[in-house]
Amino acid sequence: MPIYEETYRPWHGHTVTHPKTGWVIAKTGFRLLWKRSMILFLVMANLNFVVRAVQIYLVSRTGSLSKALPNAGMFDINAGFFLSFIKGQIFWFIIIMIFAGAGLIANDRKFKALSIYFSKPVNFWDYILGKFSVMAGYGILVTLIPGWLLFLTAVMLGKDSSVFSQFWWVPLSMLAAVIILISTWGTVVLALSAISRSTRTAAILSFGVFLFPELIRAILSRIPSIGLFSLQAVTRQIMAAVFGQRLPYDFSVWLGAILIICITVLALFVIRWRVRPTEVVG
Amino acid sequence: MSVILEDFTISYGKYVAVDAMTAAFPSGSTGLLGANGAGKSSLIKGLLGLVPLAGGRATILGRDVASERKAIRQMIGYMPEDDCLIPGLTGIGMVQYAGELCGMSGQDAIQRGHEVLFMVGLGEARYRKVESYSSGMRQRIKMAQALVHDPKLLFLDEPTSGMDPKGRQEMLELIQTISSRGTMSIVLATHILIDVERTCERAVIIHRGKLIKEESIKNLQGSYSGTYTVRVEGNRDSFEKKLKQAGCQIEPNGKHLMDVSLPDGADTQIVLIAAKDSGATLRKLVPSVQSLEDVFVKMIGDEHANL
Repeated sequence: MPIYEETYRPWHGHTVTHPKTGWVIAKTGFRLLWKRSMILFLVMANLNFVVRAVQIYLVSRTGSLSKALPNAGMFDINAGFFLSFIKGQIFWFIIIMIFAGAGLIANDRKFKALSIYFSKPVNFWDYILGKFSVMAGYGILVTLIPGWLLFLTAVMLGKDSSVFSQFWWVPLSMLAAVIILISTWGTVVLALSAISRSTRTAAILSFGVFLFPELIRAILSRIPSIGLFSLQAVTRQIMAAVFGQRLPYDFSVWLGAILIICITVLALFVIRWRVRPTEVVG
Repeated sequence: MSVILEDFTISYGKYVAVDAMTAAFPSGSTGLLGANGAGKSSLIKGLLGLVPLAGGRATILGRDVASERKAIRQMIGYMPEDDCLIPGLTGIGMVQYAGELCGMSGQDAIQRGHEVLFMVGLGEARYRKVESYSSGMRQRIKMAQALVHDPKLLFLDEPTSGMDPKGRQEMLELIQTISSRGTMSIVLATHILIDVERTCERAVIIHRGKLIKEESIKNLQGSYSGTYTVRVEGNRDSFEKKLKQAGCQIEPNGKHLMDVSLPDGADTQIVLIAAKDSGATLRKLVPSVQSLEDVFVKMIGDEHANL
């Protein structure tokens, strides 16, 4: 195999002065993950959407079920309905964040790709923004997009404009809730991916952060403010506040928000510490 | 000048990898020579902003390394020493990706990617995942991603390491071809002296982070010669004896020739006098062509002696 079958030819094309490298990284990362297993996850994650859409259809056809069924208030189409949909998506959201995010930095470190990235017009924030956007893209596909579609379905199938006039703010609440979810879990999973050179280790660590604090919270639920120990509980608490619903735990929303900001900042510090173009030993 | 260094310093904690280096690399091909650990890779990484500067300043193609990093990176190509890959991508995917990161449109990058992969000999393997590439192929893909946007300056860090003799030959030929076109400057960091001798016009020799010499290859080989190839007829034994008495060192070079190293400060007059005194007829007296390796070893030896 000769090294060149053609002699070197210069290229006379045009390059943009300030390439949007974050977008290039996001686009390529998203495309690389778009494979059969990911599509399967997305389909499974959105089954809840189908169930809820059927529910909206039935309610619109039969009128409010709350009048006919005991404890059937849960079938009403209101802000709580949409919040419960988003909360129901959290499990799949985290599965997909881990599936998409665990290898994003770990693989680059394993294959020493950072030297290549940072020898191009890419800085730390372009790189992180690009990687984060990959996770955000998949996260949105199982939370915000189906959430908004569900709202749209409710508006379209409503007998009058009451759904829209009463709950016009719900899509904005969904957006805020999804931003909270993605910024928290996205940076945590990225930080765990940056710690390890193995996708598997990063995934196991991420599952640990997802499961164990929640398990401990459930076991020690009698202790006041134990919910602060679980990232899941903290995000649920803030989401409830964003939707104007009753708070599920007995700690302050502001305390939860501060905790989430601290965790996100800490995760960014970890990423900054681990994502270096050159590994300096010793 | 493609690269200018002023008191350029890079350190890893207390270890100083590049020690207040001041140098200028003109356009064309420059070999960055040094033993393992001399600071070649650190110098390149410092220039690209991959490691922080501990002191001094540098410009690449007239732009300041500290403040115009992105603009510089868009104009240069870098082939790292490490086995670097972007996992999950095919050969063409990786080169296209590198092109897009440098500001090429997707269509241009893929078109040029195919072209560059043929140039480096990966034409047939371009649809294979890069993780499945052999070490020689990995060197080629690193070269391709560095060349895709046709940079003005190309940094090559040990480009032939891990390649079989044929692949090495081909890589050097490609570097020579690029260098001979004159549109792209090359900085080639290596400890393989013959690679520099073959592909570069100039050499910058560094040792323990310090600049030892910066010179054209021809001058470098000449400056340390002091050795002449001599052929005599007649009384050869007596001629050799006279030369040794004058402080020369003699190495036989084939049946009729000998290499005569003159003592420091002496000139060829010694040889002429020895020939006259011994009655030998001098048939040939030409400067020996020294390999860069001889020069390098002597320079490093001198540096040790000065410490």
